[in-house]
Amino acid sequence: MSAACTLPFETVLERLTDTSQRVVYVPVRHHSPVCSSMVQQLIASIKPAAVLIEGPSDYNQHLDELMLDHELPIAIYSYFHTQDGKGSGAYYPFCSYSPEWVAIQSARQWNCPIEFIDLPWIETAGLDRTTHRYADAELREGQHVDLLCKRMQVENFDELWDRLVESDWQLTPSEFLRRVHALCLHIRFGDGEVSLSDSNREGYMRSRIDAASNKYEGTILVVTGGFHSCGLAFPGKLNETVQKPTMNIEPEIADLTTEHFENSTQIKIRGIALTSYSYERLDSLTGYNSGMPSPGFYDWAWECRTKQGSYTHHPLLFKLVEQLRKRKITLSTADLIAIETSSQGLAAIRGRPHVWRTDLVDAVTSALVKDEIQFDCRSPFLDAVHAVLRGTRIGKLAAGTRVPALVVDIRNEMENLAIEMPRSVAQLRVELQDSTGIAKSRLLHRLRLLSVGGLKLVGGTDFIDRKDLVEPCEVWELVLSPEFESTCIEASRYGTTLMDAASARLVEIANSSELNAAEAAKLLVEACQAGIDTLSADLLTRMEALIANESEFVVTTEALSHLHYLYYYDETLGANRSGSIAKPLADCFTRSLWLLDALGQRLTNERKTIAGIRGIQEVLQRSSECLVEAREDVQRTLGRVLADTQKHASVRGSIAGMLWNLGEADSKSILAELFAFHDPNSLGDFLTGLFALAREIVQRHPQVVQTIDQALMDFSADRFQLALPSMRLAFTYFTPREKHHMLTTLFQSLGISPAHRLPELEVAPEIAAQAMTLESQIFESMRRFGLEIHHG
Amino acid sequence: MAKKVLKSSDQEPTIAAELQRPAAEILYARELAQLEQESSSQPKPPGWRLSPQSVLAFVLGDESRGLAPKFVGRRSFLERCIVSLATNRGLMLIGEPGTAKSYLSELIAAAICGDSTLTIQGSAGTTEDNIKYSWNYALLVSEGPNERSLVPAPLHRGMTTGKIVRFEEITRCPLEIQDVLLSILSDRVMSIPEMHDDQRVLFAQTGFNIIATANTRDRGVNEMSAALKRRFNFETVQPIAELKQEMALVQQEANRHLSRSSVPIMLSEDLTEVLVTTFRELRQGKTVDGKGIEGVSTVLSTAEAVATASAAGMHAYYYADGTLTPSHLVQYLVGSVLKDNPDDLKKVRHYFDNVIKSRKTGCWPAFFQARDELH
Repeated sequence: MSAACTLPFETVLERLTDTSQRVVYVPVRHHSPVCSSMVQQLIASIKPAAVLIEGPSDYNQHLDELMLDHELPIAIYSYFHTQDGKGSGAYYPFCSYSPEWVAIQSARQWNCPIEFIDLPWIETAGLDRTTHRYADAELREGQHVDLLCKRMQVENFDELWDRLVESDWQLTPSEFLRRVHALCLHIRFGDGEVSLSDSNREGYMRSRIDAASNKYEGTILVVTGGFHSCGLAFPGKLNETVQKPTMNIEPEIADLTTEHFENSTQIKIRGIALTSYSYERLDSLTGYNSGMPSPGFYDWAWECRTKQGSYTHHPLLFKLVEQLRKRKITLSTADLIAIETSSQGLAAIRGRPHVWRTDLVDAVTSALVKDEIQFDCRSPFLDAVHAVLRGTRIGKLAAGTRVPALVVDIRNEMENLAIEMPRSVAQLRVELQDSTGIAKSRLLHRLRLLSVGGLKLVGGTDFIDRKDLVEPCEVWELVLSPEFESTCIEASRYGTTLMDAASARLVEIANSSELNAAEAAKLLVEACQAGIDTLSADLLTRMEALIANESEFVVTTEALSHLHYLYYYDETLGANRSGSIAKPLADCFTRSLWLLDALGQRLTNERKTIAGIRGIQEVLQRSSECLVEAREDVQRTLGRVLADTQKHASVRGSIAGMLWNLGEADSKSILAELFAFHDPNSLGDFLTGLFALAREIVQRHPQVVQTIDQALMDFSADRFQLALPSMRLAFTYFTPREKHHMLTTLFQSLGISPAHRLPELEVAPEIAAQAMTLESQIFESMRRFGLEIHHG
Repeated sequence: MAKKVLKSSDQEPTIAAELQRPAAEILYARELAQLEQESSSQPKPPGWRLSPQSVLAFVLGDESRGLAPKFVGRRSFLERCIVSLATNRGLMLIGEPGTAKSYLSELIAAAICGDSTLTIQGSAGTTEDNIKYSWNYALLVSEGPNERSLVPAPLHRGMTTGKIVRFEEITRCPLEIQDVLLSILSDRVMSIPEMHDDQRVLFAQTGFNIIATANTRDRGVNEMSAALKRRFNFETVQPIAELKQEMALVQQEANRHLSRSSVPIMLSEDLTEVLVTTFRELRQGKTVDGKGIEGVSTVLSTAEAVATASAAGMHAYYYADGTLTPSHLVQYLVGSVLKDNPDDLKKVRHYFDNVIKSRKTGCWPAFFQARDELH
């Protein structure tokens, strides 16, 4: 190992492990029960003058909050939001067995002052995106770890740590200090790279340690991640390739630092507060955010250590059996015996006196899984054992814990509208026809935008697919789940009031890279649902750019239909005829026409393409006042598409239908077009398009039916077979009654006796009476407004 | 993640040199003797020659003790395999063809009992006689059923001597033949009804156990009876996870094959990279940079890659100017890929045109140029 220290390795190690020094560095791995136990013992034996802990220093003024009666796991949540819409939050999670938590509690017990000494998150966020601040990615990497794993005959760092520290029941504090310091020294100097953010943080921590040394008389105990301990103890004496914090920074790194670091005028909101956390969340972190795995297991190990003094894995086995039964998986006694013997055997081969985490997983794999396991794939048995090791604990903040302004705002708003989160799942029906209903719906939609837990839209009007628009209402499922509060707290990074936060979140989604025009339009609908009426300029600009760059006809027309709904039809969301929507609607229409012109012979999705063309027709019919194109220009484009033999038949059919419907073409020209499609391969497609767009007119024109009939009669048997499938599809646009009507028309024109009558609809007399009354009312009012109906 | 790694040739005893393929216990006699001595003071399951730790060290290798690595695989996987054999269940190794299941079972058997030759080869024609015992009919007629007239098959011998019995391709056997193992695995006895008195029941000596292998391609383990499944611990042998490890292995093995056949041609690193990457990508259905492609249905194992490389090497030596070129590889790639599904070749062509075309370094352009061989 090339320990690149200017001091001999042994000297450094000796200094670090010497507990009689003025400053004693306790190296911990975050969320390690053994480290917690050692911290506890060291505080009790040294009785330090002060305990300094790796934690956000901007939380120091709130330290007393940690003494409240919380149920762990909880986390300190640090967040900020910049003027330009960038927001971020980071967590410092505490479990009952976290060294930092135990340090705080023990220090209080011995009346030692405590202080968090790490840089606030806001000042490192520009350089280090790790949002789990008690992760340990820096320990996991590097040649030294690989080499040591090989030497110790283990697979990865987690197991290495288990073998070196965690599963050693006899570890004494001095041996602990020696092992962990040595391990971390090697890891740190094996690769000799310390990131700029780490060296910034260590610089700050050192300054806090110095300040504490001056302030207090007696020993200072410094509890930090093991990776930092040696850097703190030997500033500048270790010959590592640290990128110096402020000098000689590469330009791009300098840019990064200024992003959040110095330019704090940019910061709009910042705050720090406690939030509840869960083992599930802790265990699901991966990559740079990953820390100690299996919190449920280490919780048990901690309990054994602190309460029982000896360790046994049997309760975990019982939990496994419970878990498997809950999942309806049979586990025989023989299987359980096999798990027990295998796990004992594995522990023995791995040189452990007791069955540890991986032994259990491997024993289950070995004894229960009888199928092929694909690499890194799941099996129900393994899922169960991992669930046991993960644990189910969910934290809860003590009543009266300080919460961020947003949470207060949410509480007030909910109180004003008398929305209460029920203890068990309950449905809330919100009518969207009165102002209170709309206000409630908006509030809930804002919460939904912020991904607040415990609420779900389960039914009612769907404004995206536009279903059930007759009586607009919404059905929400609400429950006061533990995540409700924690997600509210975490949403604080977006703003201090619900309205601000929801708009900021909307902008964030709008700026995400995966958005296409249709999704952006959907977002606009969601914005209206949430009642964010000052649609930010950002979202509209983004929308414009997305529309301009969209290359898919189907996507563009989907966006068009959302926008047109908001512009023309909406009565509930308050977007009707809004000027801010007219512009994107016009843009989207232009783009749709352009893409329609460019459509080729092959369609990716025929059904959606036709629906898109229908959308274009609708805009032309209803909202032509906001379009930039003159009617003739549109007509010219449509004519061009219709004449283009390179276009798919269904597109040409739809355009023919549209022109007919809009009165831009007469039946003669349509019939002429129809004649042009005598090819059995394309006739059905053409008709599909035609029927989709001009359904009403087609039924009333006997010639169309006659022409189709003639075309079909001209086909030979083979050609008819060829045409049949697409013809069938084309006619599915009509209801049976409509088809019957067309058939009757055809038979009449051919002079054949009429087809069988359709059976009469069976309608209850009272429903028929209702329908007739309604109908007569409609006719009456139409007459009143001078709208006469001309039959035929 | 598995495949054999070859030992350094200096430790091959002279006896091994004359055999076409010496068994593991002959090939690694020195290592086994060393480990046996080292583990004499360590706790061992009854009947084992080495301690479980030593078996592990033998298979995975240990530089500091001069033990060559012989198998590439995760440590925890091997630990589970070895521990399974120490329990009252057998070990079932399953996986794709060519993942070195049989080789692993040979290594483990050699390490645990010093004998890897008690092997039953499962096939559609395997009978009970091949598994348990049969009779020398001349002696049977003259002397009646006794120890002399009984011809022990591997299972009988394994039980008598307390050794590991290997059952290759167990799922290829008819179900009723597989189920012969039921009572033997649970009660550890074999009844021989023809014999007299106390010889009617053969009790297994300590150290006896069974390692079975089954590949997941032709006839899976699904048809196996639940009763038999219960008596085995199943372990999946994975293809080698690391590209680098697989490359090193293919290169080493292909070169060994070639030198054994007296062909003075070596597979270069660049060519190995091309070959192994192609095999891996077509096997996994995604490229090294994570792009999804259409994988082929044929098994493209590490063993196949070695065979392709050595065949290409021989071709280059005997029928060309003695230089192994990418075009030779492509020619034999066709043979490896095209087994039963003609669509596979189309997929390979597509893969050449879409993935390999864009690679401009090393042997890739030449490999692409040879795509015309794919016909």
